[in-house]
Amino acid sequence: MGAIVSRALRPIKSFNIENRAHRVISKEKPQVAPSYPSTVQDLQRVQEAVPDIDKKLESKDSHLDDRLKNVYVTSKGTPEDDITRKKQDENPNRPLPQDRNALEDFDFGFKEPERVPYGRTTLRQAIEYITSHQMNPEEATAAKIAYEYKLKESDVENILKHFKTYEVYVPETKDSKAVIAGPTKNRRKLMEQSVGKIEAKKDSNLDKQNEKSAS
Amino acid sequence: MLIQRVRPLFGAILKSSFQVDSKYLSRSSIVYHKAAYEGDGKTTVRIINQDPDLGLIIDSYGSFGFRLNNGLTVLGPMAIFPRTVLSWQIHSSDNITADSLTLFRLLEPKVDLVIIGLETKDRKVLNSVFRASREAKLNVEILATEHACATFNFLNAESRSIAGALIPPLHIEVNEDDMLNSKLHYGNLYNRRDDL
Repeated sequence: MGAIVSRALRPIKSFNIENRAHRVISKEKPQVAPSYPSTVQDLQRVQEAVPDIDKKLESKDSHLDDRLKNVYVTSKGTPEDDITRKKQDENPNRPLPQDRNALEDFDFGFKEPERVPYGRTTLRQAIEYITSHQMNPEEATAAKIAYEYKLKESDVENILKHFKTYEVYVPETKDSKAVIAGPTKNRRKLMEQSVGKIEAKKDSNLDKQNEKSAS
Repeated sequence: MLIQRVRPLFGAILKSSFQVDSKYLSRSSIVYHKAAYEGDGKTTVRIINQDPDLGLIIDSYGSFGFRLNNGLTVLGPMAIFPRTVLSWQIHSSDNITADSLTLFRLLEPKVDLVIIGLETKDRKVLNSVFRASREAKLNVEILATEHACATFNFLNAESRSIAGALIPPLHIEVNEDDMLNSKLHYGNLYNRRDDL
């Protein structure tokens, strides 16, 4: 609705707009907009209270400057260096860091705990006993590992059964044929499995062919 | 030997943010936008796989195993930690029990999340794996191996306390990019016979 009204009124509003605009622009000093009534009231009230307010604001007040000269800032308490020294003396077991270099990366990507609760294991320990068991299964038995690392024997048995370290094969040259690398037991399983399947398929095909030829 | 590359891992770092034309906005609310493309020479890309400081990252997977960013190829199912790999003696995802997840349960410091990558999408198997992980009191994310690899990579790059238990997928869908990359890897780009 508003849009329609303003559209209807537009020709009246913009009547002779060019001339009127030029008249305003060509004035040498633009007319100042009237101040708000409440502002005018405030100004009048100040003028009545302090008649020479303009002069006072412009001139320098030496009295105020003198007061500023009497302001001083002082501090109390012990200096920062003394506090640091006192803290070092209080607790010699926790010395403040001296080295500002960047921290070196941890071996396993995380900080290892200094104390491990009974029944738990760190990754470093796990790799240690898995490797030793693989090297010498008769010597490093689950019971011995469980006793040494304070673990449950059933847990150790499960870990040793399900986790193995890898054997690493590096081909001598780039052209030499790749040797299958992997956990010993698994490799055998993989090979046996793949061979078995292919042979079974071939046999079944042959059987079928034989049947066909027989019929 | 064909392998599937894990989805390229990019983290776009934006150097500058541009200012929206303030003509349409009030003065007090100048909005700074982040955009993926900042014009020529201003956008940078960081490939996580090539950063050795971020730990182990799975570059690619195949039906035989995984290839890691340290140049090693790992055969069979693996238990992968931020900087360590162990072989996981699991035949298929049917065999996953609480016993086979013992190591993850006992680790100190605690593993926040174990990402289990399965070769199957069978509902029954997923349920049994989930039950096993509940029994082992682990936080797990059970995914298909393809997705588990990428999830592990990103979380590891963020240096979170995680572990991955991944079984290589049975079948992989290979595209031309993968074929090119595997040929480039073995350095026989111009050989016609693919007898590797």
